[in-house]
Amino acid sequence: MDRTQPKSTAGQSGATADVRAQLQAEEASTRETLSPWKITRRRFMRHRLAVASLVFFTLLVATVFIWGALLPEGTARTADYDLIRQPPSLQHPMGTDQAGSDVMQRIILGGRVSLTVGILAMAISILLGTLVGAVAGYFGGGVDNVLMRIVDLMLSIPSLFLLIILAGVIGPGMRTIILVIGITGWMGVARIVRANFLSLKNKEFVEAARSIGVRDFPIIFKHILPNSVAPIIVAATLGVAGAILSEAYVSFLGFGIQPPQPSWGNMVSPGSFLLTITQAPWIILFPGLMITITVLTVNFIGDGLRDALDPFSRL
Amino acid sequence: MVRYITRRVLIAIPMLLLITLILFYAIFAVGDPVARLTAGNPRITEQDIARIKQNFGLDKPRPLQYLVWLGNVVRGDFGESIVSREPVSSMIGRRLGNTLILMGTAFVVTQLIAIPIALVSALRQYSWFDYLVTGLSFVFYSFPVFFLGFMLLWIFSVKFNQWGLPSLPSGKMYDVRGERNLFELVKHLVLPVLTLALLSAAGYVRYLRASVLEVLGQDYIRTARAKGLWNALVIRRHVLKNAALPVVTIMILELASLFSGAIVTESIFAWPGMGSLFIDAMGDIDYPVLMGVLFIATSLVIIFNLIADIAYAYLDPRISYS
Repeated sequence: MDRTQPKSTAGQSGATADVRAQLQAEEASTRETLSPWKITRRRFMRHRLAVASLVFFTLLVATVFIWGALLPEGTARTADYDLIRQPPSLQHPMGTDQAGSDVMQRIILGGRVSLTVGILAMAISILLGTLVGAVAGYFGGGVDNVLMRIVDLMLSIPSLFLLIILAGVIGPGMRTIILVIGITGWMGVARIVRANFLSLKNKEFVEAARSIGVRDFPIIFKHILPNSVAPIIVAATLGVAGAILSEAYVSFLGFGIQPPQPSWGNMVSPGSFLLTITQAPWIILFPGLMITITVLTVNFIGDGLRDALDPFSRL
Repeated sequence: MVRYITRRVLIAIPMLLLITLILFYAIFAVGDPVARLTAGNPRITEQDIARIKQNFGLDKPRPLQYLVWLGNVVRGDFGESIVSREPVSSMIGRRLGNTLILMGTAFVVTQLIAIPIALVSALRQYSWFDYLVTGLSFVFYSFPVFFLGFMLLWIFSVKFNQWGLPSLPSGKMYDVRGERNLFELVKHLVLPVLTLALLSAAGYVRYLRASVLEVLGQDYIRTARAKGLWNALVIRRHVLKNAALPVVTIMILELASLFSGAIVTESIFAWPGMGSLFIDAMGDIDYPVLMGVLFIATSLVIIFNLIADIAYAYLDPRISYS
């Protein structure tokens, strides 16, 4: 981005530097108009790890869903006792598990579950968090107080305890797990959005909208919310990683997605952990690796977006 | 100050009550503890079930049950486990020590790893060491606990054993038939502590490094250097003190979680702590035990939140109470 700025103004008088900067700015503006999204994209493209992660994550999602749809119904769900705990081979590139199922096929099917849970649970968290944060920040006073006490309340219970109990209340299964992770993960977003609204609600453009008689909710959603989109996008990206991890932890402990339906979380918890490590480490290694790589790439994407969307960063 | 603390405490108490009330109802919504207890016993009759319910006071309306529970807790009585009939306070007492040994050690090791690394990394920004630290902390920050635990177990316990090298024990606090001395305990602590410490150190390093970098860019640091203060003194007196501020708050908040244990880590390494007590009790819907663990965990979070706020305001005079 430094192209449009004079490299060095040392030795020049301030006035000439100003003129030069202005000329260069004009030249730049005639060359191309940069919309905020264009600037963001350019900055993001400069974060190479984030771009590589985005490509990898897109490929991963495509592979898991297309391949998963091609596998016949009921694949890798029935036990085959002749094939128990086979080490990786040409036929079974990631080996077979304690029920004789192909680990790679289960990773594809489990990935469908884990990624769906991650993305949908994040969507619920972001929707809830944005709504609560926006209402609390905009209206303030008693509404704000009540909503923020609810946030405090939910944050006071250690998150994994809360997740396990709620999973127990609503019952195991993919849809319920999405719901449970969604409704235990919105508090951070609510705080971010609220802080944003607090700083924006007294700005002139809001004042202007109010003076021409725009109602509260249009002001919230049409005028203020678009200005807090950047932190929400970053929170959403990191939220996918968080939700995938939450699913993995709850399922690992046996309170999430139940076998025989595979998820990356319940695949790393095949009965006896220690026995499996001793006899057939690949059963845990590959799904564990998938969770780690996915979370890592999503975090890289989030990191890249944070830098790209930050108006103060000069990347 | 006193008014601020009083107000916060007055908000905290009804909140804690509300949380326990919600959790009490939630636990019973998970399932019927008596049905879980008697399941698979063909000789149990309707009368038996009614008698068991009466014994536990489960025949009364739910709000009354909650009030009875609350009344007992106020008097320091958490009731007894519906499975083992052991008092919940003694069950928790036994596990709390184990959890504190594990989590306390992990906490100290985390600081020992994180603080020097983050400092050197920030002071030599853009050096190869800084890049290495930033990269590694990012990777470890994304690592799921069970995967790191799996890798450490696989390499240092299983593989080392197969290769005939001195290997580390795979779990529990002591070997079943082994001696129970400090040396054995330390040997059993290495892997779970390393799992916990590496992961939380990654978070601390990222946080502390950013904090130090922010302070290094402040005007008062330039002033300190401009007046000719030695670098070591600038760092010790100005950078460290200011950079420590936000980190101290994080550390205090982390202390609360020491007591509730690390559920996943305890589960992997078969550590008999609070986390595994909770998991076991969840299977039986052993509600007095569950409520006991949750009550302690939640109260500690609320108390340490309060302490963190007060400490922050105390350490940083720029913050005013409001």
